[in-house]
Amino acid sequence: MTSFFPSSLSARLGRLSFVQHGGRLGHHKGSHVSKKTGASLEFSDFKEYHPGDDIRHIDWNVYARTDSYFIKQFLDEQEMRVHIVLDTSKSMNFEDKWKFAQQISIGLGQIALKNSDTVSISRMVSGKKQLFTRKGARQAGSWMTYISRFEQPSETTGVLEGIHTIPKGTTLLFVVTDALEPNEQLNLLFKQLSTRCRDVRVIAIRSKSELAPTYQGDIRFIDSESEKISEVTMMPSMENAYLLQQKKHQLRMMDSAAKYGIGVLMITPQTGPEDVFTIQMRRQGWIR
Amino acid sequence: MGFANLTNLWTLVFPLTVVIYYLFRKRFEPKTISSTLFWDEDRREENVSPFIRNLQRNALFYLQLLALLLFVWMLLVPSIKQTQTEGIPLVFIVDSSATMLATPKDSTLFEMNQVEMKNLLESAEGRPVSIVISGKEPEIAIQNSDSRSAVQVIEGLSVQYEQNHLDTSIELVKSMYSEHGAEVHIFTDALERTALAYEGTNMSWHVHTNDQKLNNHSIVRFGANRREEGVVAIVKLQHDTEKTQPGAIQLKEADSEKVLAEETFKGEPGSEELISFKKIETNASALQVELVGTDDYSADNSSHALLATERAKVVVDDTLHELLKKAAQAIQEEVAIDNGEDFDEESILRITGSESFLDKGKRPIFLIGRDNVKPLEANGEVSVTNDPLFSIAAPKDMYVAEIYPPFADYEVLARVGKDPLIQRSPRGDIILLADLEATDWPLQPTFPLFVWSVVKSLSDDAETLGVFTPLQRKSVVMSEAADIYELSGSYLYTTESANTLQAPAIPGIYKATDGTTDKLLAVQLDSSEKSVATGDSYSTGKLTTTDVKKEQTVPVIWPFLLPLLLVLLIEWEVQRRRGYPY
Repeated sequence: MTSFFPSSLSARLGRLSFVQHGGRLGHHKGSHVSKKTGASLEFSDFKEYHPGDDIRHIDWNVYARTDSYFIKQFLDEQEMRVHIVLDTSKSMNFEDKWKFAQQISIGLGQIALKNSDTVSISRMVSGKKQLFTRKGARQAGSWMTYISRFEQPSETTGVLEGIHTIPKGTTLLFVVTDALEPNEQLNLLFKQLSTRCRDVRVIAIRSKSELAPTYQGDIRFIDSESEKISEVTMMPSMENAYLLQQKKHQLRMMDSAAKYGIGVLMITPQTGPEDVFTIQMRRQGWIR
Repeated sequence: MGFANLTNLWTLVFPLTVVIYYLFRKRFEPKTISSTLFWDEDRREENVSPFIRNLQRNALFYLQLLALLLFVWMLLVPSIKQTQTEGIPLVFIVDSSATMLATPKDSTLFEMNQVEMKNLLESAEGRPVSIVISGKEPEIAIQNSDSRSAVQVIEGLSVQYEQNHLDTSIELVKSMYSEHGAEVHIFTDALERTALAYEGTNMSWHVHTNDQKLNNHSIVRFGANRREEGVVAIVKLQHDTEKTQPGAIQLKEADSEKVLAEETFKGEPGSEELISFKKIETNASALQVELVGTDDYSADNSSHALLATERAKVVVDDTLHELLKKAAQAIQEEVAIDNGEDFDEESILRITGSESFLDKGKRPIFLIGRDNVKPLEANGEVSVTNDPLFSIAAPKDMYVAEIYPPFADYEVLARVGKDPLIQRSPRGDIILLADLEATDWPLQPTFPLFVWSVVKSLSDDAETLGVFTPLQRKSVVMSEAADIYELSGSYLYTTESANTLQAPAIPGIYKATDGTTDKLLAVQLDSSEKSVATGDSYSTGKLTTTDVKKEQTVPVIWPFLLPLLLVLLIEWEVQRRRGYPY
C-alpha cells in the first residue's frame, strides 16, 4: 500500500492546508479561522456596545476606565467540510489516469484529515452512489485504504449524474474528473456545482497520449463510453487538428468555469502526485 | 440505342481496378481510447444516418467510380436510333465527260453546271444531298450529306473526259432512291426523255442540258502510219457549225510539239472533210494533230496517234477472200500469201482461217471464220462495243448471213443480234466469227480501214499498249505494275496491278514503264465525246411523298460528358475539403 501512496508524500501533505475562498464554513467548530467573530480564545478587536449584543462579551475593565461599554470580540474558528466527487466513468480507466485520480483523492483527504476537518468522497458504482465520510487525523490510514480499494471505473454516465451525492453543508468541493465531455455538458455541470457549493475546484486529469497523441498508421478509434467510432489516418495535420480541438475545448471549459467561479486545474499523471500538491495546487492558490 | 464500339468495353478494367483497390485497401486498426471527443469534433453530422455516413465517408471513392463508369460508358459511344422526317433527298448526277468542256459562252458547261448546282443547294437548306459523278463506274462523291459539304465537293469536281454512261448513273440513283423518293437533277449536254423510265418510281427528274448551239470543228478520226517513204497520216474532220469557218490542221510530233505539216480546211457547215498528210519525215513515236480555228469546244481539237517503228510482216492465208488480201496489201507493203510454207511465227502477223494458229507462236493472230464447226444462220443488226478497234471504222451497216458459234470466255467486241460476231482472245487474237463470203463487208469502204485497225492493233501490241479511251481499264502485258508518265516526263501515277492498266483521263500520249521496257499508250476521246449535243431542259416524274422518314444513329456523348466533368470537379472539391479518404 505504501507504493500506492508513499508515506513520504503523506508526511509532506500534513504540513499543507486548504486555502478557503468562500465565506462560509461549516456549522461545527473546527480549526479553520472564520471571517466571522466567534468564540475562540484568540482576541480580535473591540467594538462599541449596541443594544442586542451579548452582554457577556462586555469588557468590564475597559468600562471601568472609560465608563463606556465595549464589546470584546474574539476570532471564530470553524470546521471545514471537504467533499470529493470522483468521476467513475469509463474514460477514467485509461492509461494511468485512474490510479492518479485515486492518489489525488487520497492526498486531498489526508490534507483535510490532518487539519481535523471532515472529508467525504462520493462516487457512482453500478448506478448507485457510494459515500464515505471520515473526520480526524487518525482516520488518514483508513481513508487511504478505502480509496485504494476502489474497483476500476465502469460507469458510462458523466459527473453530472453523481451531483446529488454531494452532502449538504460542504464548504470545499473537489471534482476529480477528466472533463472529456462536450462543453455544453460541462457548462451544465459547472452550473449545478456552483449551486451546491460556493467553493468548487475541478481537477481535470489528462493522460499523456490524451494530451499529445503519438499513434501511427490507420486507426479506428472507439470511444470507451459511447463506443462511437472515428477512423483516422494519422498525419501531422490530423494531430494538429486534434490539438486544436483540445485547446478549443479547454478554453471553452475555462470560460464556463470562470463564469460560475469555479477553479480548474489541469493535471497529468506524468508529473506525479507530489508535484501536483506541492507545486501546482500551491501555484493555483488552493493550498498553502 | 446501340453501341458503336463494344470493343472499348475493356476499359472496364479501370473501374474494376479501383474496386479491387478499395476492397484490398488498408484496414483500420481498432483502438479503444478514453474519448473520441477531439477526433471527430467537426464530424458530428456523420451520425445522421448510416447510409449518409457511408456516402460521406467514401465520397471520393464513389465519385471516382462514377467518373470512371461514365468514361467507360462514353467510350462505348452510346447512340440513339432516331427516325426523323427530313426533306426530300436531293441527288445530282453530274456528267463529267469531255463534252462538258464545251464553252458556249464565257464558261464551260461544267462550270455553268457547278454554279447551277450551288444555286440549287442554297434553296435546299437542310435536305440531304448526294452527288453522283457519271462514268462507266459511277462515283458517289457524297451521299446524304449536308449542303455545306456538298458545296465543297462541287467546287472540287473536275472533268474526267470519260464517256458519260448516264444510263448507268441513272440506274444507280434509281436503285438507291426509288423506295423513298428523291429529287434528281441531271447535268449533261443532252438527254432523251426515253432515258428516264420513271414508272413505278417515286422520283422527280430534272434534266439540265445545253440549249446553246455550238460551233464545233472536231477531229473525228486520226490515224498515222509509217511507210518507207515517210509517215502517212489521215485526219477526218467534222464541222458542226452554222457558218463556214475555215481553219487549219497542224500535224505535230507529240513529244516536242514541232509542227511537221499544216493543211487548211474549208469548214463548211455540217460537212465532213478528210485531210491526209503524206511523206512526213519524222522519227517521233507518236503524232498529234491540232485543229486551229474558232471553236466552242476545244477538247476534240487535238488527237494523238502512235507510230509503230517496227512492222511485222503480214501473212495471209491464200484460202481467204481475195478482197482481204487486197486490203492487206493496200495498208502494208510486205504481205505474204501463205501457201503452206514455214514462217518464223515470232516475226509475222498472221491473218488466217485456221483455228490451229490460235495456239501457235506468241503473237496474236487475226482469225476469220472457224474451220471445225458449222456456221449458223445469223439474225439481227450488228452492234459494236466501245473498243478502240472500231474507233476508226465500225462494221455497223454490215449484213451477216451465217455466223459461227463463239469461243467461250473470249471478250465479245461486236454482235449480230445477240450472237457474238467479233471476239478477242486473252492473248489478243481478233476473231471474226463469220466467213467473209457470208457478209457484204468486203464490199464496204470501211473494210480496209477495219483491217488496218486490226493489223495495227495486233502489231502495235508489241511496242505500244494501244489506244485507250479516257479512264478505260484494259488488260496489258507488263512485267509488273506500271508507272504512268506524261510524255514530258512528269510522273502521274502507278497502276494497281501488272496486268490491268487504267488510262489517264486527259487525252494525249503517255508512257508506261514497268522498269524494263517503256511502252507508249494513246488516250483518245471516245467518238461520242467528239460532238456536243444540244437538248431541252425538262422535268419529269412525280414525287408523291413530301416527307421522308430516315433512321439515323445519333451519338449521345454530350449528355454524359458534362456530368463526367462535373463529377471530376466535385471530386477535386471533396479532395480539397476532406483531404485523403481515411
